[in-house]
Parts: sequence; C-alpha cells; structure tokens
Amino acid sequence: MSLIDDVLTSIEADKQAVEEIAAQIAGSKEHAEGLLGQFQALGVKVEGHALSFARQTLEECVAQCAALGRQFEEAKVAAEAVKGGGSKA
Amino acid sequence: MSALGELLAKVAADKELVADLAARAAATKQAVEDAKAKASEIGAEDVAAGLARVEAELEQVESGRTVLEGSLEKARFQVEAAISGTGLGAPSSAHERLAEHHPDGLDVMPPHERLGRNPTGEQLMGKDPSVGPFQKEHENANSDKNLNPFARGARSAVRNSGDFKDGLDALSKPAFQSMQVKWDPPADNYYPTVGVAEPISTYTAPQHAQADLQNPVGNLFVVAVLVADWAARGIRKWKGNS
Repeated sequence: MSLIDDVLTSIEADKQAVEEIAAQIAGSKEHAEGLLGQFQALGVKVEGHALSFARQTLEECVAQCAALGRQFEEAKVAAEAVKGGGSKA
Repeated sequence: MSALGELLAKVAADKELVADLAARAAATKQAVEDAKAKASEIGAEDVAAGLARVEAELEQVESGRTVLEGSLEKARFQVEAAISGTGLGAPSSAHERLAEHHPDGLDVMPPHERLGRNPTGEQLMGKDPSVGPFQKEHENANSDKNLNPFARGARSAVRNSGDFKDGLDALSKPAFQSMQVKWDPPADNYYPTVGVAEPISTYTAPQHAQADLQNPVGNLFVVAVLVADWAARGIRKWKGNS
C-alpha cells in the first residue's frame, strides 16, 4: 500500500524536522544561558531580568518541541498499525 | 551584531522554522486524508478508521505546533525587552527601590512580582480572602439604590473614608517625614538673600520650632469626602424641588 507508505515517510520526515528544530531551540537556549553567565560576570542582577524569563520560555519551548516529536511518533505508530492490519486483511 | 541581537535573530529563525513546519504537517495530513478517502472508496473500513486515528494524532501535532510558535514569540518579546529594557519583565530598578523602602506599605510592585507566577484572582484584586466578598464596601449597598450615581459615589466614599485616609496617609507619609528630617535652618538664624542693586541684606527668621505636621493629606481628604456628600445631598434636594 504505497499511499500509507507515503504517509509513513512524510511523518518520518516531519519528525526529523521537529528534531532539528528542537536542536536549534536548544542552541538558542544555550546562547541565552551563556549571555546570562556574561551578565552575571558583569555583576548585573540576573533573577528578574527579562533575559532570564526568555531563557525560561525557551526551556518551555524545548519541552514543547519534544512533546511534538513524541506526538509524531504516536502518529507513526498509528500509521504502522494501519499498515500491519491492512497487510493481514 | 550584539550578542543579544544574535539571540534575537536565532529565536526569530526558530520561529520561522516552526511556522514552516505547519505547511509540512498540513501536507502529511493531506496525504493521510487521501489515503483515508481511498480506503473508504475500496471499502476497507478498519484501514479508514486507523487512518482517522493517524489524522487525529496529526491534529494534535498541529495544536502543539501552534503553542510552540506562541512560546517562541513570547521568548522573542522577552529578548527584545532584555535589549531595550522595557516591556514584559524588563530590568527595572524603580519598583525594587520603592519596595525596599516600603516593604509592607505601598502596593507599587506589579502583581507578577508580588505574587509569583500564578496569583489567584483574589490576590490580583487585592482582596483579603478572609473578609468575604460582600463585606466592607458592599455592605449596605442596596440602601443606595435610589440615589443618583454621584450621591452613591459620595456615600460610598464616606463609608470607606477610613480606608482612603489610611492609604493617603501611607502615601504621603514619606514626603512629610523627609520634610521633617530635612528641616535644617542655618545655625545663626540668618538667611542670606541676593539683591540686585542693594548690598546683601539679611533676614532674621522668627523663632522656629521643628515643623510638626500631622499629616494633613488624609484629613483633607476626609473633609473633601464630607463636602462631596453634602453636595450630593444638596443636588438631590434641588432636583427633588425642581
């Protein structure tokens, strides 16, 4: 069933894209952390600073991205189940 | 480009990627829908049902993606705030200073600073949850129903004038305190003044005591409230006569 195979490859590609985005966002987060470290070295009070809020938000983004990847994984599992059932029937 | 600017660009690029993902996910969903249509055309109900499940998962993906995009937008705003020093969570020192001076008096800090990230509605409205919603200012509220709005406002100001006075006392106390503290006349009672044509003359101040101000602002407000209520009564009477 090539249509379902198409679906599977498409979902797989989407999952890859999400993982790449997750890596990018994690990079942004590390960048923000590095900047916060520099702020601390400067002696600027970090807690309550907008950048630390940004870092927190980026952390949430990483978690949301991971959840997105898991959701794609579930979609893939569901599609594979369809494929298995289809071949048996 | 500054480091913060780089971070801003990075976050913006992340957001672009996430936005692009929408098109990809939509294409995948389209493929699933095509397959589903084909399956129901053939009559393979179980395959169609399974594909519907896949479709539901992909719909959840889309909603999660939207949330992620919103979070990245928020992060972008926060980085912008870190650059410009304004906006959400900006590094402002003014309220911190005020808070240090009046640790339990004035209510000058924004709610997210005072109450943490998830304040309750009661905290946000500044109400003491132990008081109950229908006490104090709502007390006896129905008896004012037949009054006009101005009279109602004046009446409730009279009822709550104690609160008003306390608030205004707290607000004006620092000013009067600093007036008292900074009361520093010259030791020999001579105030030099500058003349244009005349030689420098001196002015002898009358015998002074330390300024002893009994915080007049709150009392003045109480007087103003009484005047307002008196005016309201007058207006009511005048309207009743005419």
